[in-house]
Amino acid sequence: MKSGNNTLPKVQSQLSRSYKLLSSLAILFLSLQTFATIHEGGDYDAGESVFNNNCATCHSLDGSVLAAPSLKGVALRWKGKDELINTWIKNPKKAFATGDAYVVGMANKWTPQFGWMQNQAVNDVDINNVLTYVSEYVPPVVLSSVGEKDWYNAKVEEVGEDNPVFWYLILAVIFAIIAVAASGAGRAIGSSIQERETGDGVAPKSYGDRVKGWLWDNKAFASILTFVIVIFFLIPWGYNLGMAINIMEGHMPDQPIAFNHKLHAGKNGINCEYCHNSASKSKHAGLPEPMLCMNCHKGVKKGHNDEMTAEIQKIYDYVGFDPEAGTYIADYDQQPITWNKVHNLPDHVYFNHSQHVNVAGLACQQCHGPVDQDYMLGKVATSEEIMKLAEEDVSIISLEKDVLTMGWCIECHNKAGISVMNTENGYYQEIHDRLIETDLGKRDLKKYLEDNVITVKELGGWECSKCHY
Amino acid sequence: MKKTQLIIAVIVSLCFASCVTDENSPGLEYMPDMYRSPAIEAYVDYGFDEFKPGMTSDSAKVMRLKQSVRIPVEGTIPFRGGDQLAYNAPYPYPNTEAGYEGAGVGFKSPLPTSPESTAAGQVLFEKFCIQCHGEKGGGDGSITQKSGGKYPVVPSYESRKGLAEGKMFHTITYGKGLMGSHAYILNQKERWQVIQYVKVLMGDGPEVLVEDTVDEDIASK
Repeated sequence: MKSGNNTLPKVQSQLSRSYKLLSSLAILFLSLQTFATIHEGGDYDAGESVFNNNCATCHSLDGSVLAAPSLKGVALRWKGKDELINTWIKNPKKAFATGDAYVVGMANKWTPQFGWMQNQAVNDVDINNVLTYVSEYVPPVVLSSVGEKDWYNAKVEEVGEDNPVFWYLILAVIFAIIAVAASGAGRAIGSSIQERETGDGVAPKSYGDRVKGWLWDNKAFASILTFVIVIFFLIPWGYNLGMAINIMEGHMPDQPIAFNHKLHAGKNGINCEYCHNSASKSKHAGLPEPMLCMNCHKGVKKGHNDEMTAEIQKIYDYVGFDPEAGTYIADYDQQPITWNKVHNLPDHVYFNHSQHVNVAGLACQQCHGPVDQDYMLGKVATSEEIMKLAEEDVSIISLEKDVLTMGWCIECHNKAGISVMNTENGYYQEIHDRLIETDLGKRDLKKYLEDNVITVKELGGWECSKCHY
Repeated sequence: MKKTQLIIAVIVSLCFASCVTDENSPGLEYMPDMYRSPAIEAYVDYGFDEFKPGMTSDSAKVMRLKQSVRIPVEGTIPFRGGDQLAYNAPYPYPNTEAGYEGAGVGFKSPLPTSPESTAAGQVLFEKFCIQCHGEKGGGDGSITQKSGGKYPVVPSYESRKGLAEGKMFHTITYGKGLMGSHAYILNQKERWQVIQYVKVLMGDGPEVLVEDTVDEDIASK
């Protein structure tokens, strides 16, 4: 308006007056729309508390359907029905019996899916507060720190294409081709010259003959070189190759759902055993079934980016859940998630998760490393990671042997101390009683107690039959 | 010239040896018969893994579904030794509003309240409930606090003071509102143990009982 023509002050003032009138009308209109609600003037904070304790498990405020319709815009929908909404909250069926068109329509729409809302033990003041809170609800501002995004990284890049060895390999191949080609050309020229000069058809020496000849001429050098290669390269290479047979170190296969351990166990602080809940009961740590995912993802329907939302959608595809309606699809062919087992021990070794979790009380990180901080998917950590973790955390035992080997197992059994006091099963008491029966036993007991640590080994943790039976 | 070629050959072979392993491959296997035995274990892809000749990842998946992630026969009751309470005996109340109310009136804990079972309940609570319900049951678990408002609010136990234990059992068994069923994580005995600890957090549990025993211990000394 201000940028209008200055030569027409009258028109301008008229314009600005009508503008003011218009805007005040608009404000009045808007305020009628948004603020003309039922139950005004309640206490926002008190309403928040009542809402969180009584409504929030089923009703959302952001328009999404949890286990009941969202309360967003409830004040507009129930406009002018203060008494009725009070009745509805305290006793929905009583409100339904009044025959109010809106209430009947709403009940018919939602109760087939979610059932009737329970009678809420609240008074009129509570309802006033809640509805004030719902109408004036301001979503909490989520502060994201600098490192925040790191939780959502799809995969930790450890060693990829940037590995220099790869490029050295390419260069080596190129040089080898050039060298062979050059020497081949040189040989062809040499033989043709020889043929022209002498005229006889003597074939030129083959590569093999030349190498043999050269080696024969430089016997000392050749034998030293061979010795060095065999001792320093071939034997270690073969040894490492042989030692890696059937050891699944570093095996972290793709899974049907790209589950993010960093986010779930690290950021959200979910106990490992919530999903791997048979770790304390069974030999296997257990992999979660899709219904367990649904315990949270019934409410959390969207990830922090599209990729993550697509992964959440995979759970819904397994169990037949409609995230929009917030209900399970009837007669859906539900499927289990076919997780890929990561590590496998041969049948002649027995390993039991529950023994190590319940009795030993080990942290999962002792073997699985910084799953909650660094890993996308789960696996047994590498020995470097375990040693690094042991430096930061005193409760982690530093293990140097290659993981998933027997050396690794018995190294830990030799180092790990036993807390003999915190047991209820009487095993340690039994061992103690038997030891003090004989002189030999007493001598052994004294030996065990020398270093103030009773290790697993000292109580039979190195007996073959502990694990091989 | 020949020396160069020899050195190149050595370098190339070393490079192959030091190649980065594929995370999807279980590594070098030789005579893996003891690894993939005919006995059935959970999630193991006995003979059906995609690395076996003649198997694709799809056919392996189908076979694995048939073999290792099977749903138990309907009506199966798991046997867990002699502890009667730990059986998941049939639960008489249906997953309805009437069932919830009925359980509140008619379903009582067969597990006597004791400091041991309450302590066991605390261990279970801190594994399976704490992430949503919070350490003290205030509804301020790590998920609700740290998921950036993605997870809805959880009611505090204080607001449920005096809730019937049968209703709690019903809720753990079937779920309620946004909470899902935890029946397959906790057997019936464990559910009662958790409930004992939840009552302590609610402020109407056997907290008094725990204090009493401590007092007796002190008095006896």
